[in-house]
Amino acid sequence: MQSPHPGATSPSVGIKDYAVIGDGRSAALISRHGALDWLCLPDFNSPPLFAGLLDRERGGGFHITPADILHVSRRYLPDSAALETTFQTRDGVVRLVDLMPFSVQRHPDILSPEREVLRSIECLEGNPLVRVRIDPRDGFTGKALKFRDCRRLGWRASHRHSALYIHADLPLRLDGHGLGGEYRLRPGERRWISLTYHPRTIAVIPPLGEAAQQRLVHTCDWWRNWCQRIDYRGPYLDAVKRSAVTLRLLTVPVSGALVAAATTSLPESPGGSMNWDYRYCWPRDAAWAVMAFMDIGLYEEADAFFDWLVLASKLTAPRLKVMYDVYGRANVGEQEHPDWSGFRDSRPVRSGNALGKQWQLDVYGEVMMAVSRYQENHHVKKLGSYEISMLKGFGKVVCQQWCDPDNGIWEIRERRHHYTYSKAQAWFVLDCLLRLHERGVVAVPVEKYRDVRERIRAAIDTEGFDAEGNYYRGILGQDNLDAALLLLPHIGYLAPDDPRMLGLWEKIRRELDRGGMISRYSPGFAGQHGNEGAFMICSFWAADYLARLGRLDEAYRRFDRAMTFGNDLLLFSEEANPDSGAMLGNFPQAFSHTGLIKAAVSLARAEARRRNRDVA
Amino acid sequence: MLLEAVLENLDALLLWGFIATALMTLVLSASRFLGWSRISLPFLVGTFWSGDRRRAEASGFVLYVIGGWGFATFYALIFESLGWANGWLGLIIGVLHGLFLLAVALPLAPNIHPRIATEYEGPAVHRPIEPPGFLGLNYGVGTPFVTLVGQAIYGTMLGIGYPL
Repeated sequence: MQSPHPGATSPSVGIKDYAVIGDGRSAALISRHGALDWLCLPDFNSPPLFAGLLDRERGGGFHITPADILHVSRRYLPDSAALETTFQTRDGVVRLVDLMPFSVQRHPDILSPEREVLRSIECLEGNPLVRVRIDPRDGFTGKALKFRDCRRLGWRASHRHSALYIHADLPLRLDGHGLGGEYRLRPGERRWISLTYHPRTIAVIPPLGEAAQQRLVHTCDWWRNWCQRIDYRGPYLDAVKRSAVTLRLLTVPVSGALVAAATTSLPESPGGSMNWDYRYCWPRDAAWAVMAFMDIGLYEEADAFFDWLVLASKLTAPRLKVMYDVYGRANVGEQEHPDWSGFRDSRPVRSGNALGKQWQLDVYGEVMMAVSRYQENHHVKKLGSYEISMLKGFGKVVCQQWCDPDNGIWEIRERRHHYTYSKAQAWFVLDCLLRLHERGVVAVPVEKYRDVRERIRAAIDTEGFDAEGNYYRGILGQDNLDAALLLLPHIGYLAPDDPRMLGLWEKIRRELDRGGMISRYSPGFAGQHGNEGAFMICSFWAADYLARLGRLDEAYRRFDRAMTFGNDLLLFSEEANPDSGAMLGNFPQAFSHTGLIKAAVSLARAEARRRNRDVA
Repeated sequence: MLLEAVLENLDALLLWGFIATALMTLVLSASRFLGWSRISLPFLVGTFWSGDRRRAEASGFVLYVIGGWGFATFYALIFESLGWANGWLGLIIGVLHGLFLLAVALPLAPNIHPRIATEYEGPAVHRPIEPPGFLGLNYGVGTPFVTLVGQAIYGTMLGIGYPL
């Protein structure tokens, strides 16, 4: 029998045990035992209201857990982000449904709260006992919020100039820090608990019962309609859809920003210190996400991203910052919280991210990739004058700084290096601008750009290439490997079957493969130490490369192996331990899901090519 | 007679009524931003007519400004009836107005407003708005203070501007 209340920091609960729900403004992580252990309100990067994921004592939580659990199964309601968990207990069967309803106006005469987490408990069989515990905290101070009984309106707590309401149709009482209660359900009985958050505004408290059911139906309908826009007919359809839904959950609809992950400080190595805050928008990750959206026909999301990119880059143009917050602000401080135990004692817990000071040359290439794809696509609006001047600005920045060392795609903090991948992306920026010039989209100094482009290629093909070993080095002039170079065919630098690319793949396969998964770089790369896991996106990039190469069986094997490191809900974190199967790093991770979609689309295209060849 | 006198000074009434309303709105908005209170009178006014949040906030603001002129007319009638006006008189009327709003109007709001819920019946589909409670304290402990300050500024501005 499983323990009824295993906490996030218990060794029995891993990242894999969590599911995500969200509304595009924030996201909650809920364990398979009904523990909502992570939720930041009002925004993704706000201080957490529930953070039991990072410290069971200080973080609080919102637990709905049946007593005497025998078995748990869970799924998302079809094509939606509403989570359904079914508990078989000694006394009966309970179904828990969790969602964050959309605050969009459902009906012209019905007001909705700005943020809501809606949880429903339904008895399917027997008389199971359900325990409820709601213990919100004031961010990283860990102070418990004080509730006031508002009779039939529920319970109210003040939180940082905002109000939090708990409205339930089952009895709750003050219980130490927060609210608690036990309730024995009758067969067929269904109860609701609604948590609403009202940032600096008068609260709108939605009713429960039939009205709550309507919110569930409305939100699921919205997701189903959204999923119907997905234009993908290939392998791994369920995983592609779930990845698309997850990327959409991480996209802020009002601004078009996409956060890299819903969490902070989930460790990249167990008990380690590489615990970063990913609740911000990286133009690189967002560019990959936009390309993934466009790959499966979701063009409106691409529009939204470019609106955000224009907004965010206006203050720093023509330079791009490494990351921004959801409102486009580039100056994000980083704080450590030494009192927090961290996920399984992985210290320090951090909020904010100091990466804003880094210089990462490859970002221009990734954004340029997304822009060129966007521009080529006839479904979307044409580039405006600001976007065109932004692209020209990228060319100027690249010409001025391509020969400077940078922090690279892997954001190495200690020292800057001449990363081959960064140089290749610089090459791509100029190559792409020259192609756009030929098509009459932008006017650029052709001779100069051609000259710089060839100088970059010369640097990559001499200092970045080991002729003896027949592979591209991770850093110019240094003997190491970088899995990001698997993207060289993607940017058109080399054909997938170029002997140098084949040599690089063989080298990566021999030296970065860990149990069928791919690590991002060689041990000791750029002075990095530590025992980090294999990188999910690199493993998907390997499948993508093999699909482009036409080695489909091998590509499927790689893809299938990577899929085993997702959880039962097809969600992925940043990394995985190939030995234990444990997920590592922040969760769910947009970068990993973009890699999954990219590789699946490449497999589908390779399958189509193979079918066409067979027919011919 | 009094109304005729007020209409003779309509220019000042409109101008200073608008300035007084704008300053009061500024005080209340700033108090929300600073976290002193969550009260939003334009939201409460707008949701009287519309359940669409955006439309309610926009129309509520317009109605609130119009209401500001309406109350300015009432203040002007008091000034005319007393035969004098200055900032101190305006401040006293403003504070009394604020006290009435806090102690009488806001607690009665659930009985008048079609979308404000009550603590006795709980929220309903068409009545989901949190009630203000006595002195508007449900919207934050700073609500009585900022409401009184806002009304005091409103009255003071009218008391100063109307006789000019």
